[in-house]
Amino acid sequence: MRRMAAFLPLFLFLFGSIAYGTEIYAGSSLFFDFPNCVSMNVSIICSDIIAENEFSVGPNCKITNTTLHNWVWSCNCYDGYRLNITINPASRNNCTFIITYLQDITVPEKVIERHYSSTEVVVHKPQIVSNTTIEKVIQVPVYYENETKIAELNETIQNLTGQLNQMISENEMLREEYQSAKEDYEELLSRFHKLEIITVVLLLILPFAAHRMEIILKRE
Amino acid sequence: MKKKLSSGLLVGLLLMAAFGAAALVNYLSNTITYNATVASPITVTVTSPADGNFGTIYGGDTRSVEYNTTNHANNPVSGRHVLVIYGPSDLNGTELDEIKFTYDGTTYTLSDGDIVINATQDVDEDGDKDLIITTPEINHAAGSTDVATKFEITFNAAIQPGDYSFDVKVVP
Repeated sequence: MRRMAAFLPLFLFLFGSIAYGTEIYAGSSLFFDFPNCVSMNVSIICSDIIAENEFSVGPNCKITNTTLHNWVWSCNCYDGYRLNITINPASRNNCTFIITYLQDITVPEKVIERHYSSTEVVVHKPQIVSNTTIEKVIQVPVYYENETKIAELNETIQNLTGQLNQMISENEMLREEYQSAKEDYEELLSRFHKLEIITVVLLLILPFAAHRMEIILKRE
Repeated sequence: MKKKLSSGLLVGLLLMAAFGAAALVNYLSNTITYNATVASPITVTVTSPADGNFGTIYGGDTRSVEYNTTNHANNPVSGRHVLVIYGPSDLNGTELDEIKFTYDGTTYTLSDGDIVINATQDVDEDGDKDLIITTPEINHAAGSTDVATKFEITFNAAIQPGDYSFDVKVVP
């Protein structure tokens, strides 16, 4: 996914950009249609200073930034949105219109229903008495018509599989570490028990040893 | 036990992130770039006199300027027609008795106050003031092509004969 993001600008430059170039007459309206539009920014960059009301951009657009040579609009677009850029009749300029938009490319899911029919012959001895047709409706899993979408989905699946494998291996490592720590703990615990026994024994022996020492010292 | 919980949480978070990233695939970012030169919407083609010269004018003469107007825009465009008359010497407006302007069958006249004469500028910078004749705002229908347009000018009888020329344009 990170690799995809790194190549996104290049992808946009090579495939996403559609450039037009022409002479348009002031007072005209330019129309652009956008199916499945989600959001849009319109940037107009001109060689001469852009005058107030030189361009009218709509519908649902508001100016978000203005400099001498560059005005930007943000538009709330929707499916079937038709962008209208109207140029003031008094305008004389050389401009580049840059329309950046986000398009929902969710492929509509299509459920294919295949009707299978089979003839089931019910046999009653000694002769056939019924010939019944049973119609079964089998729902085939959803599939996508758009090849691009399938390629993207495959890539996503591969990415997710890679991430999952990585997580599994990390999990294995963590399990091993846990096991090793557990063994260390158990060994330490066993040593502690041994020390505990020795300490108890010593504590039990100590008064007798002291008493014995006292007797020895008195004799001397 | 604590370690187990942490790794489980980590796995969960990673899965959530992965699914979140996958959801973004449904949107395609795209850019349209449109380069354009914005040109004047209305063009004028003079048909008579085609060379832009009246020739020698004598006092009391009436001359016409005929041209076709085309609005190239796909919207109606309002604009004033401007006729500039260059004379042999300084002009002050008294040289003209009447002006009739006809666009698409409708006529406007100087005597009715529809047309304005300005004689304060030296448009061609030859040292003499010129006459700038301006019509009222005319609505040019979207895509209207070769609409017959005409200025008819009657010169005052008292003017000194001389060579006159002109320019005509539409200012939106």
